[in-house]
Amino acid sequence: MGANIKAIRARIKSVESTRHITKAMELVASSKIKRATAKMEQSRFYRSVMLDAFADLSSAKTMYSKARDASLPVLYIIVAGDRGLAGGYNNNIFRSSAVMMKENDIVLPVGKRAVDYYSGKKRTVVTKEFTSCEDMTSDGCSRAAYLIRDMYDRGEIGGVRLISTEFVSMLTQNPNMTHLLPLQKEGADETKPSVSVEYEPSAEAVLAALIPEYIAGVLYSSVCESFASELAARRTAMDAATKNADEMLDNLSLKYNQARQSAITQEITEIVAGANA
Amino acid sequence: MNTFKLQIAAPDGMRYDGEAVQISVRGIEGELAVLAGHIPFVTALKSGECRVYTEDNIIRRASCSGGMLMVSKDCVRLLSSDFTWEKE
Repeated sequence: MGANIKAIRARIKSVESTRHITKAMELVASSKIKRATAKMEQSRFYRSVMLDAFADLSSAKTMYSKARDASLPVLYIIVAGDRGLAGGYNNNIFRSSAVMMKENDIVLPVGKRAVDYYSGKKRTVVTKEFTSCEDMTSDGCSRAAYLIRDMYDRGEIGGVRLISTEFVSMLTQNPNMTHLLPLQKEGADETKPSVSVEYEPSAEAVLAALIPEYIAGVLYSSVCESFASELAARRTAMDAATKNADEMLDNLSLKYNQARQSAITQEITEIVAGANA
Repeated sequence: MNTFKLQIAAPDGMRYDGEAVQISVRGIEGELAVLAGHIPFVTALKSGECRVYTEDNIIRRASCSGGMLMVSKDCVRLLSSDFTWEKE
């Protein structure tokens, strides 16, 4: 019986220390989440205006709106988290990207987890520079955008797509794909008469100057949104883990008390039996 | 004075959202200004000063690093990766 009590005590200790970790991670995620969601909200307007403007620009016949040879690899920018223990957050991204990507497509991972994941795969990785979602600045996004624009201009890639997580609510986050290049009209909204817009000096010149800004802007807002999603996912996961730990502790301490009580009872029985003899 | 709706946004937030009389920026082809009733057009911007003339005759200056200016029928929108007002 003594060994059983000892084992339960060790178990309780280990569950307790795990609970400390999960609770701490939950608190860290909760404290960061407010700032992250505020940042995400702020970047949303920029993103929506940018996407609208470029959906209009796609009607201008330029090298950026023409579909390219389907055999060319497509560049996927994949935004995942910096750390694990966020429920299915990272895996959801990797799973949905695996479904979308063709054999020869290449990736530009953003976030530590994404970089690690694709380093172990047989895919061409453009750069392993962007290892932090949390510290991704608009400068970093610009650098990535120029890199991508140059590859596109050289004709190395047939398209650019972005896979990131959409923040639906604190409890729901979904993997989401955005077409960046070639430019295309959102949906088949042909009924909407295209407003004639002038380009100064020309559509080509304007687009050439704006493509990096466009990629950087959309990337930045996606990184903000993904980071907020990561924190929300982590908070939910860690909250559940803490609750599970509490439940386990309850069960274990019940078992522990039972074992202790039965040991005492047995001892008394032995003493009484000894005294009677 | 005729005014138009002006929205200025950077990736980390809105910088201006309201009425304005005139906006002057540095386009890729040179300095340009937009008044109310301008035809719809789009241009890319160079790094430089941006001036917003508000309704109450105040000129607000800002540094603007590139970006785009979109003039549509009902609204003028400026997007820039870095847009900072003077004295901020």
